[in-house]
Amino acid sequence: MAQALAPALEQALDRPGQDRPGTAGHDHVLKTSRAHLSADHLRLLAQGAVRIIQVGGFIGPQACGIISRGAVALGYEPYLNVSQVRRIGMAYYETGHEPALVERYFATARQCQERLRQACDPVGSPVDTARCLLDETWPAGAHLQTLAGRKMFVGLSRMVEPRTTFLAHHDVFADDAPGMPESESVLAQFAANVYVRMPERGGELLMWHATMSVAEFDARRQGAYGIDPRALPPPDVVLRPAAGDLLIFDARRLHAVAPPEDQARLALSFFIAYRGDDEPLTCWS
Amino acid sequence: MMLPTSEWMSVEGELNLRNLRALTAHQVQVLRIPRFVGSAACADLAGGLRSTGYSDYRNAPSVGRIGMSYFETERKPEIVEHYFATALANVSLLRMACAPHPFPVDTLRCLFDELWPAGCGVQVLYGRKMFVGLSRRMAPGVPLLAHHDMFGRHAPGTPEAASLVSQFAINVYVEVPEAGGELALWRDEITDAEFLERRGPHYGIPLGELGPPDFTVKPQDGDLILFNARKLHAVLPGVGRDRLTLSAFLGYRGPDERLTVWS
Repeated sequence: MAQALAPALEQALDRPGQDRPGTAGHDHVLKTSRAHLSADHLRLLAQGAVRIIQVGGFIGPQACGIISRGAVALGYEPYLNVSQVRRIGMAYYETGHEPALVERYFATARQCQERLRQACDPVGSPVDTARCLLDETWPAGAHLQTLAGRKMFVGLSRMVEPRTTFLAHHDVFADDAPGMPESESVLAQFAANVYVRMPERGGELLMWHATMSVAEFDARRQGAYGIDPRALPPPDVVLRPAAGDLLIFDARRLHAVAPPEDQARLALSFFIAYRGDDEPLTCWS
Repeated sequence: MMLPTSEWMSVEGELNLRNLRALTAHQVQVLRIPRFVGSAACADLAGGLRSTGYSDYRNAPSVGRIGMSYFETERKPEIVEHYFATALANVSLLRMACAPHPFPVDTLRCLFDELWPAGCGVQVLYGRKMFVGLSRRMAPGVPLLAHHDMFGRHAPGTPEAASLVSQFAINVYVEVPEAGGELALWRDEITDAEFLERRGPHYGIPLGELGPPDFTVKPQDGDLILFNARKLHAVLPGVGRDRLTLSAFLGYRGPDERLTVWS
């Protein structure tokens, strides 16, 4: 299958006017546009042939301004289990296997969904557009993830404040929802982020090629939610998205965010599960 | 089939699972969600759609549209090919026409996916994604003739059409005339063979050839209305200004099956 996709990779990486593989700092990044995002691109990501799909200008500057102001007005609050990271909505990761928090996550899912739309008003939620595009692009479609028959929330908004980081971590649905057919069936987990505000300096996405077992990751994070990037070798991929970009990347690999220097970085984020070429993609936060 | 009067009804409210279930169970015939799109957004959408430009249906002149209805293909291979070849570009065109507001059909697709237990996705036919979100413009004085919508006529012998239990029409009203432009529905369902015979050379049955409608709804700007598309329905002529809508079909295959949408 990797061979069958080679022409798609060539074409995607060779599109005129865009960075070619080998351009400093942009190895492993497949650049495309909203109109050209294809199922082949997602397959390449699932196979590990690329690390990041960069959809440039997924939303315009006007929408970025409206959404970031709307989100700030709505108010970011700390993660329940990671006080340094602020968000609107609730990540399933925050439930930490606590039944009461799992209940709270599902009970507030629809409300969180509507609050995100409200924050974006009068422009559209880019997460809605992305979900529709994935459904149109992927042969078997894309839909909202359910867990034990309940709909998950999708479209967390997160803030990385100046001089703070997201520690290096990986995202593994089966770690957050162990023993569930919905999580155990995931073959690849992508993170999707729409950047609505970017600092002038800093705020890069840092990625490492290495995958780490959950056991090793847990041993190395020493009680923190992730590993200090300074304790790791230099990242293999460094990408500074522009405001308005959508990045879809392989969330099973270690990744981190470099500290923004001048202003907070705001992004809308969700996960995409891949379970094979003929299975629907699913989305959640 | 005659329905007791009590079941021949319209429900106004919010889009939720209870109302969707009542619609799919035919407990309500018309589900109306007022102010699905705000009035300021409606004005912007109308401007964006007009500047994108309407062109006439291939087989229903005097009805303008952006995008293409599968009904227009009439099973002609080259038109079917054109429909699929332009499907996703047309969705993108409508998204751009609505920008910076959300394309209401996208929001609706997400809401169906969030509300319906088995989710919702774009209808696939012959292994290809269908178009969804047709915008239609009816000029003042022009009715939309009475018709019913039967996916099976346009996609005969396909599992996608055969598995359909019900087909609902979805309309988001972006601009409606002050007077006229009502959605008219008839209680009786007729077979497709009878419909094709009665419509003769037209795309639908002229209103004068039917008795008065059993039910009419006067949409307001921003309304979302869903109804059973297998009932005969028509649009009465509007007065004064255009009637602009975004429309799609909703395919229902059972309580545990995914909903699908297409135009």
